[in-house]
Amino acid sequence: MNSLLSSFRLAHIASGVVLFACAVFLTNRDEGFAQDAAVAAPPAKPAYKGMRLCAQCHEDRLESQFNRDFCRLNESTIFEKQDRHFQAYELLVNSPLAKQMAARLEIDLKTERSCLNCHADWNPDHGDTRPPTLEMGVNCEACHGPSSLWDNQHQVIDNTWRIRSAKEKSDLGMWDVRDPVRRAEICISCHIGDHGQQRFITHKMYAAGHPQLPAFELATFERRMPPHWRRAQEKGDFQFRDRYINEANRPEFPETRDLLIGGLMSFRATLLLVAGPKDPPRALDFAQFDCQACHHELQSPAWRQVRDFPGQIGRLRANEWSQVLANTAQGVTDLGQEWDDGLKKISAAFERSPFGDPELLRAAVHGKNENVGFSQRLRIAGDGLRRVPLDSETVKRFSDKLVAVALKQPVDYHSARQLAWALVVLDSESAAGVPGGFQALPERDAGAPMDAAAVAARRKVEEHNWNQFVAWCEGIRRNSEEQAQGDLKRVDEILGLELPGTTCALVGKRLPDYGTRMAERLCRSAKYRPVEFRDAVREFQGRRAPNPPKAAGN
Amino acid sequence: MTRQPPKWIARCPAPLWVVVLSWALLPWSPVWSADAVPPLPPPPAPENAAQSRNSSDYAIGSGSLKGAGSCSAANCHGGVGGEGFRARDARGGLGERRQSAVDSTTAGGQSPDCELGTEYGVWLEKDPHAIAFSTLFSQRSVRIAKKLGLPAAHEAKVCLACHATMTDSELESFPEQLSAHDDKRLIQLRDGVSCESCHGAADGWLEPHKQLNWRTSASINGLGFVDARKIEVRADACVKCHVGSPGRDVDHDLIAAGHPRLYFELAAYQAKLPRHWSRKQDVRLNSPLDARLWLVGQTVSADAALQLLEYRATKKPAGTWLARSGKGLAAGTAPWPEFAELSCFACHHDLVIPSWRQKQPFTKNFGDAPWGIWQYSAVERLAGVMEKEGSQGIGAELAALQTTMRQPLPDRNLVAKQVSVLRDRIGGMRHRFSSGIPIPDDAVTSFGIALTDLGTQSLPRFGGIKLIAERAAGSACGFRGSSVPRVD
Repeated sequence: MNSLLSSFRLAHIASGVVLFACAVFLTNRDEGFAQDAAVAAPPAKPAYKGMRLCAQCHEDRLESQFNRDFCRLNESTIFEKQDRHFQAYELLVNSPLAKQMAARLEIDLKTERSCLNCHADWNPDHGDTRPPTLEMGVNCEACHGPSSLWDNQHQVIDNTWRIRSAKEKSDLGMWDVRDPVRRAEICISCHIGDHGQQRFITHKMYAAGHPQLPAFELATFERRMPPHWRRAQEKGDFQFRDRYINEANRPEFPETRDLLIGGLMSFRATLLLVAGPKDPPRALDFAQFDCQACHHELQSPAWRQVRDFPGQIGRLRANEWSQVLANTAQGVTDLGQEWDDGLKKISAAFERSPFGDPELLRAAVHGKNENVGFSQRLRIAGDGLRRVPLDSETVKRFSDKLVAVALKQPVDYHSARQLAWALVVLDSESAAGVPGGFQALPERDAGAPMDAAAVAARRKVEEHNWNQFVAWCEGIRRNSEEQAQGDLKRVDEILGLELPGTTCALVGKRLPDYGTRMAERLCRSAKYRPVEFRDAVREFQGRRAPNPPKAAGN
Repeated sequence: MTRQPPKWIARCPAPLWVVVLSWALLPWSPVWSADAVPPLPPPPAPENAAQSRNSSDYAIGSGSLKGAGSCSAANCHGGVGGEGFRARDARGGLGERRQSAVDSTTAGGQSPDCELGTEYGVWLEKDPHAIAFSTLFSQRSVRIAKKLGLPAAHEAKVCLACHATMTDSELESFPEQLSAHDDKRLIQLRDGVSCESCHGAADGWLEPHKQLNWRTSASINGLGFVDARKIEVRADACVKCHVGSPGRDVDHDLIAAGHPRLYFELAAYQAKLPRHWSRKQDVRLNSPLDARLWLVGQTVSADAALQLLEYRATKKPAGTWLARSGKGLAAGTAPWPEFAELSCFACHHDLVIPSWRQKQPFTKNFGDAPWGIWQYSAVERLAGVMEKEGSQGIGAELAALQTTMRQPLPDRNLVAKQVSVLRDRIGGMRHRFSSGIPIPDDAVTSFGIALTDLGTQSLPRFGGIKLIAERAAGSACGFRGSSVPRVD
């Protein structure tokens, strides 16, 4: 009886405490905090369902029950047939290189999380013991988010899903890939690395044979992907168009914008890599630093010796290439003095000890407790870039600035590639202009079923619009190829601007020979001489610059 | 009035006369007189760990330096040599010395002996040590100083520690940056690496060593004189700068700024040095000379490298010269890990495919930091041979240290602890090869054999190749199982 009483009393007290806590919580809450709390405790954890689920609707089928005015509904077909991401897992388990690595490292490729975290659709945050669609490589959910909570909702026939806020969607697990900042983050998590998601190629993995990741440039890498998307502006005349567009980024120069945001975000990712995560102190690994800082032949005279070396000589540093575009991008942001201060702090940390002083680095990148850290600041600045107005003058100024960087002092191979890619993107986007030639969709009587002729007419317009978009993509690609063959030919010869997966041709199941590609690229990087690059850029500049009298005459 | 010699003398056969006379005249014979020095006493065996380590703590004395000028009097070591040159010989007598005629054909294509009495001239004219200081004015030095943010190489302690003559105690109190007007110091420093760098600060022994009884006097200990006839003592003097020692440290910062990386092998380096001593005496006191030079060189280098490692891990002060580098840096902690501990070419190579590096048999330690390539591989083999003789090996201790050093960020204190254990063992080896302790022919042979597979077992890296090449040089100078160098 006593014990019953006391437990009753205990329960009473406990409930009182809980009520009090709730009261305090409710009175103290602010808008953001309440939202965060809602995020922190979702009804269930989103889980991965696999690509087959998506393919049920997003596969190219004529008899699809959905309208294709908003999206193409052949995304998974394009992805499956043309996109190399689809082969990531197959590459992991079947390529000779991977097998060799597995033998050297004594691992089982099919279960090794450190491999699967990037080579399969597997986000360790979500606690899946085994990803459901391993064999399909990096597929839909790797970029769009785990679909268990939004799969049903996003299919609703009244199209209200598309006007829900990005925040609301991402709370359910659908990541906002329309936001270039978020998109860059998603790409970068594998293409540069992310400690938080345990996506990180260690030095041991590299030493055992993993190819060096090419320096990442968002706009260029996106161009190399067979498009299974349309930018908001390029979509058909879909329902809720105005409300949908309003929320999106500024429409002009989307690729230039991606370039700038991608540059900033790559730099941020590089910093996070060297500083390690905020909470557990970083586990030191050589692969956090610039490969070529050590891996270059010792020779004298050497271009590395004659250039200005920022900071203490003989110490490691973060990837050089990541700063090239970020430096240009930050000029358009509101970072101002914060940028210089941030760099100074990071530089000081690197000078203090050969691998950078871990405490100083952490403080410089993540900030002290109460401050917004530099990395967070960079992300906010990247977000700001979504709404910065761009015009062709500004774009021209960017590309002049990049040329100036290339001419100023010797840059390393990966930085040179960043510069060259950026020049291609900036110039070809200016030349290609905005996609156009879209036709308006025929009016549709909501509620009334369409007859076969109406459906066919609608399909025809959709088909036309899609082809316009693809032609525009192709135009840009052709443009940049022409540029690579023309003005930038010399630069291309020196650097090799191609990327694996460049072609839009059907790749099917055939694995590309990454071993040979890697050998070619490494050889190019080893043979690279900055003087040649500089001369090539100078040549390019000479050709590109309009002849002043002629321009005046026009 | 003349006296007839006693009859017993006349009765003696002529050959006997020759024998008796030559015996009596032996000490005055111009060829042999240099050999009249008593053989070197064996060094006392190290009793404990600390002693074995201290034995390598060569000190050029704390006394003050007198400068090369104090040696260079024409009648002392500053003779000009040549026809008719007569110098005061070692025992105070006057004897025409023609050592060069005797020794010029020694093995290994080494430089001929100088005439005794011309040591200063040989050093000044031919020895690169003499221009150690003026090297600091070269273009390369100016460039290095600029990259490190130093006002001038010839005024910076970090450079002068090795590029000038400096006692250890002087080094400790030396300012990081010399004032340009410190003429007194500059006068002393401009001799470069001169006599007292190897023979000891002369303040205490300059006068006594001019006395007739200098060679036989037992009281020269404690005067600061360094008996460079003993190979291990000589090696200690070399490795101070050529391998490095506390305060004399060619670290990765210096190398990155343009200073050459240090490699050292005693026998090869000595063979290159313009000789200002008698090789013949060297051979007699330290037989088998070249083998011993190589063996001592390896152990002493390894020991010095370990001492340096310990210094870098735990004792090195923060780089104060770095703070002044004009780049607005606070004085950092000493660099750790020290990249100069690693094999240069393990990291410094272009990443290419195909590459010979990838054809090597892989170890399981993919991508680990490759520590201790040139300093220890030979010593490990030598220890293996000695293990068969019954002494303690170093394999396990070396492997333990290697495991620690393979980490990207090795534990400083653990390193210091493991170094200490290893140095005790190497101290024993050092004693085993010391001057005065015999090394029989068959031991030389087995040491030689133990090394021959260094080049064939795995593809050697650069440090290893150099080592093998130098061993080959050693082999040419009498490492072929014979302790008698060719003197034809």
